[in-house]
Order: sequence, then C-alpha cells, then structure tokens
Amino acid sequence: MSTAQKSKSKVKQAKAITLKGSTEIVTDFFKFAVNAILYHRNVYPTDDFQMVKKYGQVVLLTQDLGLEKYIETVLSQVKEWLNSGTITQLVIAIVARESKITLERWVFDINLTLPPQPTEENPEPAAIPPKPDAEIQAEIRAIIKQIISSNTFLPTLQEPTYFTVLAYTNDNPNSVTPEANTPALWIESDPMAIEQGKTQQVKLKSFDTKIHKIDAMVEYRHG
Amino acid sequence: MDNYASPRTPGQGSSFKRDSFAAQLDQDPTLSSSRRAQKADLFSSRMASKSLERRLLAAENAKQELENALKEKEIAFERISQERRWLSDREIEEREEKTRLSEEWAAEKKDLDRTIRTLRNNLHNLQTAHDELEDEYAELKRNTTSSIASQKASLATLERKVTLLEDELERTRQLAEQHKDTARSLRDQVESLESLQADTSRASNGFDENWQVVREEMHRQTTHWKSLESTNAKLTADVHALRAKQQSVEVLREENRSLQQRLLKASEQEETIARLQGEVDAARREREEWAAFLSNPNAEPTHHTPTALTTTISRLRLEHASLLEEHGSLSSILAHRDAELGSLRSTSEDQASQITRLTQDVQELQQQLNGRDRRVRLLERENKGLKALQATYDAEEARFGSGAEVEGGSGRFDEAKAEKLKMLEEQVEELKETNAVLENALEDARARPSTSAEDDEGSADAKARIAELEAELAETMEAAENSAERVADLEQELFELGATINTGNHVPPTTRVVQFTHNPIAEDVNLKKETFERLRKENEELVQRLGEVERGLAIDEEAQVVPRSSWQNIWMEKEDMVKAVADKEKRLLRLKQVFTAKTEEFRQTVSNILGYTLFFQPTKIRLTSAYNLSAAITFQLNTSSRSSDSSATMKLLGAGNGEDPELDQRLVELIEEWIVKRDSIPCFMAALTLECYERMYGSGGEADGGMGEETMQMTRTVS
Repeated sequence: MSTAQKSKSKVKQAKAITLKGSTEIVTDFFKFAVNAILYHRNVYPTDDFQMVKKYGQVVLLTQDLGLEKYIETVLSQVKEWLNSGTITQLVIAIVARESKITLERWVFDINLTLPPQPTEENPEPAAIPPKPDAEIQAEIRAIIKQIISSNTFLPTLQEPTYFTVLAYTNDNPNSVTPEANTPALWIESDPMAIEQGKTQQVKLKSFDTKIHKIDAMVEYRHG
Repeated sequence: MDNYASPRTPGQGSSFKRDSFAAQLDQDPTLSSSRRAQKADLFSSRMASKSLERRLLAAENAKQELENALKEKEIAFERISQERRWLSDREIEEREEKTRLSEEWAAEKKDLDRTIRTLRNNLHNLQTAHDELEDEYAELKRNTTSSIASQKASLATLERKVTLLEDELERTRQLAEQHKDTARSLRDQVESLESLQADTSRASNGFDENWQVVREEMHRQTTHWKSLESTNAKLTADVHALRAKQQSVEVLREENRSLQQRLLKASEQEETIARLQGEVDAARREREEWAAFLSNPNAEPTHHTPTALTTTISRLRLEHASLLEEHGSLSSILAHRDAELGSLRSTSEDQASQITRLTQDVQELQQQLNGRDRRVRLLERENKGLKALQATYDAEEARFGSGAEVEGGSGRFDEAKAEKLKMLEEQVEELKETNAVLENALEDARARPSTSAEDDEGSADAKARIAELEAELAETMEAAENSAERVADLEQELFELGATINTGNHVPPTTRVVQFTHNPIAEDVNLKKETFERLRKENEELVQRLGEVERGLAIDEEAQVVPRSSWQNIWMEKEDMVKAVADKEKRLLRLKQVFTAKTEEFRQTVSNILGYTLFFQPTKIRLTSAYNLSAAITFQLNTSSRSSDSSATMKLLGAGNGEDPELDQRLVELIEEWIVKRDSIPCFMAALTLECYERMYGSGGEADGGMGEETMQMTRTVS
C-alpha cells in the first residue's frame, strides 16, 4: 500500500467527536492539569507524586489516597456538568493555610459548541468536522507545559498552602428550585477572589475538541 | 406734434374760413372738447381692450407654447428616467455579477485552500507515520537485539547446565548400577552365608570356634549390608533428585525451544521491519522527490508515482490553472467595467457642465428676448397709438377737406405730414422686421439646445441620483464605522468583564459558584475549629478548677484533679501518635520485606555470576563453591575497625574434604600464585572455581558432599 493510500485510509478512519468523547478528553485534561499545578506549585509534597506517561510526555500523578479520591469525586461531578453543558468555568484556588488569603487562581473557561441538531427543515445537518487526536493532544501538551513553566514568572509560595476546586455552573432551566441545581455534598461558595489592585493575570494557551473549547488563565497575587 | 397743436390759436383763425362745426365749437367749446374727450376715451378704451385682447392672445400663445415645451420636457424626462432606470438596472446587474464572481472566486479559493490544507495534513500524517514507524523500528530493533542477546546468553547457560546435568545423571546412573551390582553380590553372599550357616548348624555344634568366626564375619557382613542399604537409599534419593532435575532440564529444553521459536518470530519481525524500513525509505525518497518537484515545477519528475495520484494532481493543477484563468478574465472584465463606469461618470460630468453653460445661455437669451418683447410691445403700442392718431387726423382732414380746398394753403402741411407718416411707417416696418429676426433667433436658440438639454437633464438626474446614492453610501459607511467602533468598545468591555469574572470579583446572575463539601480547605478549617473548641472547653474547665482551688474548696482525691477535657486532649494526641507509630512500623516492615527480597535476589544473582553461594552472617560472609561444596571461604569482618573501614579477614575453610592431596597441593600453588605473588583475591577465587570445576567434571566422581575440616588456613586482609 502506498503512502498516499495509507493517508487516505487514515483520513477516512477519523470520525466526528461526540459530546461524551469530548467530555472524557476534557475531564482527563483537568485531572492532569490539577496534578501538575499541585506538584509544581508545591501545594502537596513532591514525594507524593509519581511519574506517568500521558499526552506523549511525562506527567505527575498524586499517590495521596485522600487527594486522589477528592480529585476523582470532583471530576466525576464535573463530567456530569460537562455532559449537561451547565458548567462554564473551573477554578483551582490556592489559598494560604494560615492567613486564608487567596494567592492564585487557575481558571479554565469552558465554552460549549453543541453539534447542530436535526430539524424539520434540515433533517441531516452537517456534522462538526473531526479534529485529529494528535492535534488535540498537542494543544493539551502545550497547556501542561505552560503550567509547568509558569513557575518562572509566578511568585514563590513561601508559606504552606492548600487548594480547592470551584465550579461555575449555570442554573438548569428545567429545575424547579435553585437548590435542585446543586448536587448533594456540593455547597455554594465564595469565589475566592484575589484582592483587587494586587492581581496579575496571565493568559495561557487553549485547546479545542470542536465541542469544548478550554481557555486557561492564571491569576496571582503580587505585592 | 407740436406742429399740429400750435396753429390752433384764435388769432390765426381769422385767416381761415369758419364752418358750422367750427362755429358750433366756438359757440359751445365745452361740447366739442367733451366730444373730443369722449372720442379720445372711447378710442383709448378700445385701444386698451384691443391691446388686452392681443395680450390675451399672446398669453394664450405663450401658454400653448409653454404647454408644448412642458410636454416635450415631460417626454424628455420620461426618456431620461427610462435611461436612468436602465443604467441603474445595468449597475445592479453589474454589481450582482461582480458579487457573484467574487463569491465564486472566494469559494474556489477556499476549495483550493482546503485542498492544500488537506494535502498538507496528508503530508503531516505521512511524516508522523514515518516517524512512528522509525521509532517502532528502532524500538523493535533494540528489543530484538536485547532479547536475542539475552536469549543467547540464557541458551548458553541452559546448554551448559543441561550438559552438566546430563553428565551428572550419567554418572549417577553408573554409580547406581555399580551399587546395584554390589548389592546383588552382597545379597548373594548373604544367601550363601545363610545357607552355609544352616549347613553348619545342622552339621555339628563342634564348630563353635569356626562359628564364632563366621558370626563375626556375618556381623561384619550385616554391617556392611546396612551401610550399603543406606548408601543405596541415599543414592536412590539422589536419583530421584536427579530425575527431578532431569524434568527441570526437560522444562528448560522446552523453554529453549519456545525461545528458539520466539527467535524465529523475532527474525520474521526483523524481516517485516526491514521491509517496512524499505517502504519508509521509498516513501521518504518519494516525498523528497515530490518536495523537489513541487518546489521546482519545471523539473521533470524522476519518480514513478501512483497513476491515481498523478492524475488527481494533474486534474487539480488543470482546475487551478482554469480557475486562475477565469479569475484573470473576470478581473479584466471587472477592470473594463470600472473603466466604463469612470468614462460614464466623466461623460455625465461633462454633460452636467454643458447643461449648466447652456442653461446660463438660455437664461441670457430669455432675458434678451424679454427685453425685446417689451420693446416690441412698446413700439407696437406706440405704432397703434400713432395709427389711431393718424386715423383721427385722417378723419379730421376729411372733415376739414372742404375748407382746405377753399383756402388751398394746407397742401404743404399735408405733404409734410404725409412724409412724416411715411417715415414713421417705415420705422415701424423696420422694427417689425427686427422683431421677426429676433423671434426667429429666439426660436432657433430654443430649438437648438433642446435635444442636448434633454440629455443634460437626464444626466443631471442621474448625477443627482448618483450623488444621492453616494451620500447614502457615505452615511452607511459612517454608520458601519460607528458600528465597528461600537463593536470594538463592546469587545473591550466584554474582555474587561471577562477579566473581572475571571478574577472572581463578579459572578454572573445566572451562575452559581459551588465547591465540594469535603475539600481540603474545609477539612482544615473543621480541624482547626475542632481543636479550638477543644482547647476552649479545656480552658474553661481549667479556669473553673482554678476558681475552686482559689476558693479553698477541699480537693477530693477521687474527684477529677485534671479536667476531663485535658485528659481527652492528651488521649487523642496519644491516639494520633500510636497511629503514626503503627503507620511507621508498617512502613518499616514493608521496607524490610522489600529489602530482604531484593537482597535475596541480589545474592542469587551474584551466586549465579560468580559460582559461589553467599551466606551473609552478622560477623562474616561465607562463600561456598557451586562445584565443590567442601570448598568454602569465609570473610571474617574486623569488628574493631568495622566502623572505620571495610576490611575483613579471609579464611579458606576447606576443599576436597582432605581426601585429595592433589587438590591440597593445587590449592597451595594457587594461593602462592594469586595471593602471595599477584595479590589478587578475585583471581584466586576464579582459579579455585576453575579448579573445582575441572575436578568435578574433568576427572569425575570426586565431588563428594560433606564439609571437611580446614586443610589450609590463610589470613589475608582485604579491602
């Protein structure tokens, strides 16, 4: 088989991504991004992390069972929100342990582009053109590398810190009461904003699965 | 006229003959003057009515003319409107055509871009596939090489082991055969002796002395028999062990066969890899040639490409060329249309200027015509007035004709008057001719610019329409610019709002910020709160207790001297510590287990490599040769200097069980050679291994088990 035919067959094999597949990709990305932030910003001891290969590069995953369970629990709920399209932003807030001051906010904007639904006028709408996995992984790799390299411009965290994951969710219009929009064991929270006038924002790269577009940004407190 | 009025003085009348009418006039001057005035009034009113009628007629004529002109103007306007509509339709069509052409061009360009992008993606995919194949090939090559090397090494080891085991089995079988023969002969001897004993017992009791000897012999034989039986049992056990080893050898052979099969598969994979490498090389060459060919399209392709690809690319090129040609023709048509539009605009501007000039001329001519009309009207009026006056004079003359005939003096007056009248009539005729010439000129002037004026009017309308459209366009452009500025402002505002939302200072109304209940911050806060509550409670109880002490209340020994909360705090701290200790111990145990497993693995590996079995003891390390169990070496650690250096004392415990003087001699030589002369303990150990191996497999049957006493002792400090 010649190379041209091979490439043709490869192109033919590419299928349009679904909402479920896109959600899986985004959830996976959040998992590794959270771990990378926690490791490289020294939120948890570096001994608690082990190296694994993902996205064509070595990334770190926590071995702390409690932390692992927390991240899994949060991301399982995030996956549901992604599937229902009610989440607009995921924020990882790093807070000083003693002073309770928010030092950093890692913001991931989630923009959803739903595929066109069939209607009476257009029973077979054009599907979203597929995007190669390699391209998506390259974009994710670029964001992970930016998170890793952000240590070069972010201030060193001198004091002990911890973190929490905040989710910006839209109210589901089908819900009867506002409380119905909040799942069990989830509570409304303060946005944990950084004091105005002492913040600096750095926009990171973004990646797009053709259904979800994730824009990354880090905001830190200075002075 | 003064000539007519002046001779009417009464003094002069004496020379003329008076008629009745003059007499009536003289008698009643008021009647004659009133009649004259009445006649003059009548004349003037008639003149006025006539002049009004004439003016009316002239006005009607002018109205008719103006209506005609208006109709002509309307017709011209209609024609120009039609032309304008036709031009606007043409302009719209042209614009639509231009839009359509630009859309088609954009679509074709997009298609071509998409094709180029697809080709680039294909190239990228091919490069990626090529890189992946190269990586896979390298990895497979490495894996195959390492697996081949390891399999070869293991194969060699296994073959050696198999050979050793086969030899050992053969020897053991021979030994067993020998022992069986010995046992058989001994059994025969025993049977013969038993039969002899029976004979002797039956024969006589007098052979007591011989019997004693025989008994002793039997006792010796029985002892020997027992020893033989034990040896037989031992050898049987050895045979069993060797059979087990034989089974393991079979397993190893099977493994060897499977490894050889894997090797064959690996070689097949190697062939596949070579073939893939060939394909990759071919693809790379093809790609390079393609790149060279694409970079230099004039060059002749020196490769053989698939026909479909070639045809596809040629078709695409043809399409591209035709599209480019079409684009060029469309661009030229567009430029031609633009030039036409420009020329039309310039023509319309010229026509507009001509119209303006002609309009000015017409206005000037109109003014001149009006002036002439006024003068003509005045002259006509004067002429009419003079004619009327002449008629009155004629009438008067006819009336006074008889008097003149009588007197005959009025002939000169009449002649002068006639000449005067004739001159005036000539002037009137000249004026009429001039008026006619001027009217003709005016008609010509009106008729001549009429056709161009119609076009100019249409062009003026078109120009006005163009100006209107340009004004609308300018307004639209301005509105678009305003909208763009508004959009930019809104985008900036949106960006700022997004930044505000990102900082967390603003939460959109329909958005809720939520977090998981059991997050690290909440847990830490809960822990701190719990600790704080505990400490607060303890503090309160301590304060209460202090108060009781200060009040001098008796302290009951059985009551709580220390508050319960303090005890609870300490107990919880103790529990935490116990838990931490348990965790640490568990971790230590796990580490120990790992360390033991690793040590065993390491020791096994070292034993396999060096040919010595290692036994680590607290104060010494014992090495036993794999080829001679009696050859053992210990390294006694120097306890006094253990912490400062790693020196140890080497001691050869024994070799050959003291039964082989040659081995002893050889050992002495080896010690002399390697330790005393060359100062190399590793070489000595290697030489000892070789010696044991040669003695075990070279001469055979000398590797008896059992640990002998030391035959040689040697003390050496190694570092």
